[in-house]
Amino acid sequence: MKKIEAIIKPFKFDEVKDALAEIGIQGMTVTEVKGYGRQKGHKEVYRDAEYIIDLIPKIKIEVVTSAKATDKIVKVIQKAAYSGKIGDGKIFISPIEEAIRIRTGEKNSNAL
Amino acid sequence: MQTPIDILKIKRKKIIQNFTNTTKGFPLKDYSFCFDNYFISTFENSLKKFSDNFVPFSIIALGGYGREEMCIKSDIDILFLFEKEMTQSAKDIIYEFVYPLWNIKIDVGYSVRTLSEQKNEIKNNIESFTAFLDARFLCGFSPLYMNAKKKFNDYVNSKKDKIVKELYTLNKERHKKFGDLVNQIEPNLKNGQGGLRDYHTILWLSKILFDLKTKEELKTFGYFSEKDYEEFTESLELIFNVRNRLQTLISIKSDILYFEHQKKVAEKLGFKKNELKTDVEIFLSSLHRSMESIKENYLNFLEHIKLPALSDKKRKVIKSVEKEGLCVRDGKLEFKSSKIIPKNPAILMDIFQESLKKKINIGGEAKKLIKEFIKLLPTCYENLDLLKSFEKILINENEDTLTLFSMLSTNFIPHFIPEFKNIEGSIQYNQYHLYPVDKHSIKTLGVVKSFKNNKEILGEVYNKIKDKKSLFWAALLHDIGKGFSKTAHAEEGAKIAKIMLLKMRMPVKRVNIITFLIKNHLLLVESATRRDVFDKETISFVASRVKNSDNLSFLYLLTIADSKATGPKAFTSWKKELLQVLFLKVNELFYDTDFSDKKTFTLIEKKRDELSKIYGVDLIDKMSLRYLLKTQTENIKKHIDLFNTLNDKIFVWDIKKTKTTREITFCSKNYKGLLSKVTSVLTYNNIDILNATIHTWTNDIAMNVFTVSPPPDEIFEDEKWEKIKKNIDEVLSGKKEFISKIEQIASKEIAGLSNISKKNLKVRIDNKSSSFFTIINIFAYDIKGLLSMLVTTLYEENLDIKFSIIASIGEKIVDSFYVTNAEGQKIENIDSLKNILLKKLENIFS
Repeated sequence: MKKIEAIIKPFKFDEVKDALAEIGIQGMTVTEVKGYGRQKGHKEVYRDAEYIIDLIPKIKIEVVTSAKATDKIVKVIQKAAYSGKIGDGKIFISPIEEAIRIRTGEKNSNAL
Repeated sequence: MQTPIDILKIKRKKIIQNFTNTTKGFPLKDYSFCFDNYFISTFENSLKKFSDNFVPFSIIALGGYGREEMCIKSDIDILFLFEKEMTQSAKDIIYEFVYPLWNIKIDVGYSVRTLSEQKNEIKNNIESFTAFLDARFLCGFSPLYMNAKKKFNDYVNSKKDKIVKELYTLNKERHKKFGDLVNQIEPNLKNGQGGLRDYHTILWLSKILFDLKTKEELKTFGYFSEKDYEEFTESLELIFNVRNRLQTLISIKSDILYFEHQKKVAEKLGFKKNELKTDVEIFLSSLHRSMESIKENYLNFLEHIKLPALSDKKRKVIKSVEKEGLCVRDGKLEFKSSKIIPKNPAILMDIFQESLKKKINIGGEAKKLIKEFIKLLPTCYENLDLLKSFEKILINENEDTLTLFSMLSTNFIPHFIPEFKNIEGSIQYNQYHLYPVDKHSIKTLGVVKSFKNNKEILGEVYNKIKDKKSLFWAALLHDIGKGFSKTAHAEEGAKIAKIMLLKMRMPVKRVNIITFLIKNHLLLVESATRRDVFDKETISFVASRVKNSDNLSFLYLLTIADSKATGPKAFTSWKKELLQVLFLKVNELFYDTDFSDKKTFTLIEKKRDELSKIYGVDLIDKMSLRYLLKTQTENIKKHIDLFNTLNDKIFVWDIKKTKTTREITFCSKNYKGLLSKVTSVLTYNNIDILNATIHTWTNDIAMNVFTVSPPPDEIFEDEKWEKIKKNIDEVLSGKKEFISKIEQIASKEIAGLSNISKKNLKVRIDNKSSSFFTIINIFAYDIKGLLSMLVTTLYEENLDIKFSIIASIGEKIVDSFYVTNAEGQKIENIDSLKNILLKKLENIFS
């Protein structure tokens, strides 16, 4: 099992969600996050006062899936979240040791 | 023979079946009665069974069961009351009652107490106290019950004030805890404001204070008017019905009407959708109204009974008011007599004004009278003086919506502004909207006013605004369209508001501002969340819709207030940040020298409309504001025609000849270093570049216009262009490069110059004039190849040239480049860039 974490631009969220639904991904965790990477923060000026926006709003999507499906999901996310501009985001993949469904106690693939 | 539990099972099943098959309310009393029968029969049986060593006891129904208001999942609250100590056999008897109920999975909350235990229990535990307040004797040894009751009454009479105060405080704390917020989306039918507990508290207080026995007596003894009582019981019926529907549906004892169950409950209750609203929205509106009515009645009741225990309020006491016809009674504003209202209906407005002015609440009696007589008041369209008075309240920045909310709850506003009827109590079925539309509108207005003391950017924007009247009206009416259209409420709202405001004889200019704000009140939030706020096109798009910085300020304030008033889920710090970025970026654009003219955006909008009609919105939306502004419509059309011939070619161009110049329109994909490459080819071929305008459409298409000198040999001009075309193909496909050759050409040129002074080589970088670009101005001597070399340096510094102007003054030139960094933002470290460019210049001319 793998966890796929994708940090994407907020306005791309609907596209990514729809694209994932299309390949049958039903469950995901979505968080509104802020951060910065190469697309650094920047200054804005309002009436001579500077407002520094150092953390940029992003959306984080987490999907836990079988190792087999990982490539496909990553491709779908990458395609849907792409705008070609800086700040399109990143995808992280990490191994998952165990998954348990709280209600039934089912484990691993049955719990996904 | 059927045992009592068998009979109970059959009767219970029948009641539940009947209930699920119809939409009618749950028969609370019949259901309680089933259990009464069970206990009575079981008692008779046990008398026979345990006749030898029978200890006398009473079986007493408590709480909801005592009131005969048992719901489907209610606990059976029972007290087994003994005189003194219990024996083992007594315990055995109790099991006779309780076990069979447990077996059919009914929750029994039973207590077994002696008389003295009971006496202590009610003193120490308010819940046991209120449970016994609703006690009802079922069967057994009645003198025991009478004895307990008497002790209870003695206790009540001796501690009346303390108990009343405790009950009141409990309910007040509960109101606070289950306050309006979350409770609005997922109402708590029991503990929420206007939930069953409010009803219970009315009942308990009236039992304690006035010795009433049933809820009907509230009407009989005049604590509720006939009309109020009717509304009250109807509301209760709905809440009980909803509670039982919910509990049947989820088969657990829950009082919270969760979002996911609302639709099912609405269906079960038989609500049907209409043109404007879904079944669940209609259901929620009426549930909300019912809970509101219970709450109102609860508060009115509290006022009516003038709780002696509550006179501890620390408040400035106002004893009188000057306004004729009004007076102060018990610290509240009231009408002197109901008779004056028909003679002078305007007093219905006066009372609100006075209440706001003197900061004194309107009394319950007066509120009832306002409701009753409101029809006598002219509407806002019929009497302009009244409208002025209303507007005074509306725009009073000290009015923190308390007055407007009571104008809403007394039906004043829906009568005075009749369009409000359509949004009154109208619930929006989603997880974001906490309040019905009418309340949300007033709440939005309150949030807008609160910006006055905001220490952040909102405060600054708010306090800068001159025409607050427009802003306040827009806040009040921004969702008015929701009462008239299911889908496009912003557009519809703008149309309706326009008619309303013109009927109010408001100046056309203000009407236009208000309707503009209503129409676009979702623009910022939609753009911030659905588009890339770091993309220039988003900023341009919003700017061209908003048109000027005043409108933007209005919209920004309205948007934040609207989101905040919707509920915590609709306004997170995350969203706040997105909106702030959008606001700041668009605002900056309005101070851009190119766009600061107020007419600019109207002009661009006109062009955009015209072109969109021909080529479709998608293509035109990709063009930047600057491009639209600076390029004539005819030329844009030509550019599009040229673009349409590009297909798979490396590039296409169009050369227009005039007497002294050639204008090359050049279209290609946006290759890396495109400008550096193309200019080097032109210079290499002895073509002088007089001017270059670079545009990038967002679909990564470069549309550049070069004004150049004609080729030296004009006879074979076409052949020359063919050769240049071939060179450009080669350079763009990476087969050749010309830059090194340009350096040779340049050095020859420089050798021909006399008196080169370093003073004449200058670099100026301007980060203020343009909101999107850093402007680099380079002053130097006019030599062939200079442009090409400068462009190459900028390219090597990872800068993106968006636009460039070349001006020759004698033998000197000024090259201006509008650039961004690779991220599309302005350059932050301009000093280091300046040094690099200056060194390069000095190198070239050394």
